[in-house]
Amino acid sequence: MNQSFYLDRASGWHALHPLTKIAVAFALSVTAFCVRWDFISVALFVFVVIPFAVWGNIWRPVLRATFTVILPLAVSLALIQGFFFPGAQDVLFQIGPFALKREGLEFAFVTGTRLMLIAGAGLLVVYATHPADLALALVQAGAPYPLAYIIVTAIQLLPEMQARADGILKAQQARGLETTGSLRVRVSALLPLLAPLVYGALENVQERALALDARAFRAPRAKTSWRVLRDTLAQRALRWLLVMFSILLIVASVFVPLFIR
Amino acid sequence: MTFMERMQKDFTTITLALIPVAIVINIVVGQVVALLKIPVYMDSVGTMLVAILSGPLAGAITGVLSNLIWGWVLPPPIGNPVAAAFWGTALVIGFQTGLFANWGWFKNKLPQSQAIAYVLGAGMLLTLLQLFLASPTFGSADFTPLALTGVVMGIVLTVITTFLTWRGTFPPLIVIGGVLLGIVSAIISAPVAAQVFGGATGAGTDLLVALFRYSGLDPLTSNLAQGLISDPFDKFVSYVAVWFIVRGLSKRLINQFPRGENVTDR
Amino acid sequence: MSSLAVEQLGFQYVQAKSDALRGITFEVPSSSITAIVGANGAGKSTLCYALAGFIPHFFKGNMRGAVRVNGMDSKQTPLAQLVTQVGLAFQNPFNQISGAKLTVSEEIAFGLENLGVPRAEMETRIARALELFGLEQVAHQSPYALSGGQQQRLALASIFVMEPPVMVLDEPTSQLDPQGTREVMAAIQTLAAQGRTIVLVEHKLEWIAELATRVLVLHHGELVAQGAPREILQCADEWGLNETRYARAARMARERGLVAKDVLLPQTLEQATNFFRV
Ligand SMILES: Nc1ncnc2c1ncn2[C@@H]1O[C@H](COP(=O)(O)OP(=O)(O)OP(=O)(O)O)[C@@H](O)[C@H]1O
Ligand SMILES: [Mg+2]
Repeated sequence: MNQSFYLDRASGWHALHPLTKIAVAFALSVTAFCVRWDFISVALFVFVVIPFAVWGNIWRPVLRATFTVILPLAVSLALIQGFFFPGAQDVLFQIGPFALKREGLEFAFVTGTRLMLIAGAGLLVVYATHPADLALALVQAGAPYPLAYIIVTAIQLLPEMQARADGILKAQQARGLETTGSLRVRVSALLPLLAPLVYGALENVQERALALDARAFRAPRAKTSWRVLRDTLAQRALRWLLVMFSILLIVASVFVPLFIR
Repeated sequence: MTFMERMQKDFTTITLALIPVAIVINIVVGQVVALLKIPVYMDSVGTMLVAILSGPLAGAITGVLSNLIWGWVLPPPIGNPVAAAFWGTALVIGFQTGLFANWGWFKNKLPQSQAIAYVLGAGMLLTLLQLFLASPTFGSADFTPLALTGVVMGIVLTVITTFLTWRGTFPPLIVIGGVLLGIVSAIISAPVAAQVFGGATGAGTDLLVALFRYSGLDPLTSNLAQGLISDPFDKFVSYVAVWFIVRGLSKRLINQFPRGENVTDR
Repeated sequence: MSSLAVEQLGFQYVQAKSDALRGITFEVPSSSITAIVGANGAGKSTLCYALAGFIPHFFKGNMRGAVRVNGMDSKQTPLAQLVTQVGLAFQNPFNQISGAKLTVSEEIAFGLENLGVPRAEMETRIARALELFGLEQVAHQSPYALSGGQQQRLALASIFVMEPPVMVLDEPTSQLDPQGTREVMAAIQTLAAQGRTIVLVEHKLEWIAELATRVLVLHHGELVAQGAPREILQCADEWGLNETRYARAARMARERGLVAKDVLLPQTLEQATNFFRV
């Protein structure tokens, strides 16, 4: 009943503290944005993201998910920028009134690969981190306590509600409700579909709140945790280094011409 | 009332219990609408609901978390990291809707003539906006088809909403709220789309962006123009949907929310 | 000694036209099972909310009178503190699952986490709760994967583990099949045997006659009768309640002149056996 990226594998990457993994992904993303070399994102993806994904035994899903997300974006980007990049001169070829230009494609390449890197780095974290651990780590790092509740509950509710949406859709279709056809037909199908779904979910909110309060959810005390996150001094040091590195890079990219393409 | 006091008043346990449900409503309603191939996003209905029942801050937080979870916690095909980048827009949708609700815009309160005047005004504003966006004054090329579509949509919407207002079907100010929110969220989304994504998001609306770029507009303005076409319609339709949802909730339930009086008459 | 005292309690939900409770006064003796009965809308749930502090701390409305929990006035005491004194479980087992936890053990731990109980202590308390409510086998399953009866026992275990001296249970079996009902009732009996004070709202009078030490009858928001189960349940139908099958059988027998008129109607199997032996 719980739907998330998380894949339970016994790997060293999985065993790292959630914040360590997030720090790695963050440093990767910052580097991709700050270093002005056209191939930086591709290099980081090939030489960091993929090896880590192999280490975590999650390279297949990471690659698959990265490309499902990036491909439609990349196609759009290449077309929009390739044809309509402002100030581009170097025409590669002409289709009717449209000219495909090199500068535009280059820009699309840099932006597209940067997004690919960010997506890949993020997926590296979420495929190897249990959402409850992620939530706990965030709370232990100082995020408000209800955040953990909101994240985990949303993840658990979603499949249940999707199943219900599916059921209602099928039931309405069986009763002869048109869900294909003209826009008017589809719009008028919307209300009988959504109403039971939304009300079904909202009906329970008050009782859920009662149940939470009955369990001292809002007690103003320091909370403890049944789940245990493993953290080490080395990891703490690594996180600190990664954050420092990222900050330095951001500052450097503003001032040092070295980074300007 | 200080900020902290307001937080405490709005973030009751029932608000906290509503937020994950609202996030899931955002996602599932967005999916159903996409499944039926209805050309709006409708991905903020839950956020709007929280904003109306529990105030602007709760709405804003729901919006942000919704997009972050959508983007980074759920796997594809549902999850999509693109959504995460637009957390700022989601924040504004939640906050702005909460303000509108606090101002009583989700209650039916105006005399009929005034209501119709407001709705006609909003509809005309929308239509003129579409006309302007598609005109040579704004861009440099002239796309009659686009202009025509926008204007026809604007007029049809104006006629329908005016009729429904005349019948007293929904509070007239939500039409204005929807159009205003659409304009604001277009302004906030445009820089993100242009800067982070180079103008493309991989969605159907990219076609519009391409069209504006072809007409010679710069990247930011193209994305802005695309948003100004898509968003007001989307937000208006979402407001009508969320109003119907709220109207169908039992008064007892509404009363237990911190801002229940936004939709009931005390 | 009484752990719960209710004095002239009245409550009107916000924007409601009439009072849900009016002038209610009673005490709950320690280590007992006190049953609350009444027709639909009589105010049973509202009374439970007041006993556990959710009125006035959760529900908006107008409360009069007072509820004292171990001497503390519920109006003056924060809810998070009250729930460590009075635990509340209710009807729908599904809605009582916090949603924030992935296994049965974690779900039981939730209340302890919120109270800041150290992990080592959690471990023993959770183990005890799992055992008492027969949940050891499913400790590592998702709470959503359990049967209704198991979910309701999980709900009780999650409250039990916080060790409130009083547990208020609002129709904990109304959504369960007979098997699930038996499981939950057995758990309640065990709790009472351990010295917990139980307040139980229940429609099935057979169970009340079997378990309760005292019965309170609510009718249109007022407390109309209280006393020992057998006496109180004599006039069940006057308050719109479904009398037990034993009482119905005995009444029919009496109407046909098969038994004497002055004998109390039986409410349990044991009483019925004696009744018909006469
Ligand atoms: N949130 C609320 N707002 C307004 N009125 C309410 C609310 N909840 C309950 N009531 C009303 O208060 C009265 C008592 O309701 P309550 O739920 O306590 O009854 P009950 O005895 O538990 O009934 P049931 O057997 O149906 O559970 C009823 O008239 C009901 O309609
Ligand atoms: Mg009840």
